[in-house]
Amino acid sequence: MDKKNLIYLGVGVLLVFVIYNSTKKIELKEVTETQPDNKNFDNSLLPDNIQPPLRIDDGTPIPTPVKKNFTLNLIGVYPRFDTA
Amino acid sequence: MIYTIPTRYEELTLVIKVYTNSAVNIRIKVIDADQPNTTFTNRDKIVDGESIFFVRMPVSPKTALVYVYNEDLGNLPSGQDKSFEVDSISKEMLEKKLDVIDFGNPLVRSFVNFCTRFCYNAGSMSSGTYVSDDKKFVIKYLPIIEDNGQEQTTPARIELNTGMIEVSKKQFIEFTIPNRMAILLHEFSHVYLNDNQDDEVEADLNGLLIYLGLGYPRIEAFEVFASTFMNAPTDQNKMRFDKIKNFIDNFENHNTYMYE
Repeated sequence: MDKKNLIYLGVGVLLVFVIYNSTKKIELKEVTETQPDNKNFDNSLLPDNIQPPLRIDDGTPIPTPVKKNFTLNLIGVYPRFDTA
Repeated sequence: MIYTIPTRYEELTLVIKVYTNSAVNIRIKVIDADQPNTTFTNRDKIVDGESIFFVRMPVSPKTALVYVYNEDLGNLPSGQDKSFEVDSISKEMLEKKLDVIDFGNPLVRSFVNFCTRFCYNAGSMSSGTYVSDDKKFVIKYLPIIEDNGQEQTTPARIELNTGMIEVSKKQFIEFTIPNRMAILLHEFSHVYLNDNQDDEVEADLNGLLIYLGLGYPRIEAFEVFASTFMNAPTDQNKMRFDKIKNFIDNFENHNTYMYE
């Protein structure tokens, strides 16, 4: 078998593997009533994309959020909240 | 019935196939097996015959618990409830449309990252002030939102002059992760994406575009807006709900919906 056909074969096997794995049924494993336990959970072990955000210690200055652009709407004497 | 599903923090769609012999109100709930108050979906539907539930999960836990039960009878172990049968649960790829999101905008990139992490952990985090890694966004996670000592019904709000976001822990703790995302993306849009900061419909649609593009479930967006509007059933909110429905339908059908 020449090199080109080997590459096609490899790509074909890879595609079958990806499709099989992306749609495979999971063996159903039933459990009894269970609730997550906060005491045993350590969220520092989560992957980076779902790690808790940085919490500012109480009493330390709060950073000023970034502003988009200056617009006339930014001129306001009193705080204006969106509440919906 | 409760099933454990190893989801390994992957982004995926859970496909749950259910059979019934008659019309049965089936509830599907997917939660994190380890982290409290972390729900990925909580929905019900009348099933008569065969039905497939698609649970889109742009974020997932290490292990998910999938609850499937007859809403009228409550959650019973298999064998005790003959009104339905779970045929299979499988994992499929998550369909996303990242091209509709302006990730070229650094504010969008930063907020999506911050918002995702906040929403995932809101069920187990303490009240306090949270900031994004680049310190551009700040969320005050308050026990409740109040004005002049009066508790407000809104789950979150943004101060239009400063961009400071306030979130009610009391309300957020009950929400699913997609509910939380839809709300915070709406608030973000008011200040950072809208042409007119005060325009609620523009903020709804700008926020939804990011939400749907990331692959979050459509039904959870409907649900959170509907419940918010029910607290204030005005003509404007009815109009907003119609626009949201139209927008989601068009997004699903690959049509471009222009906001007028």
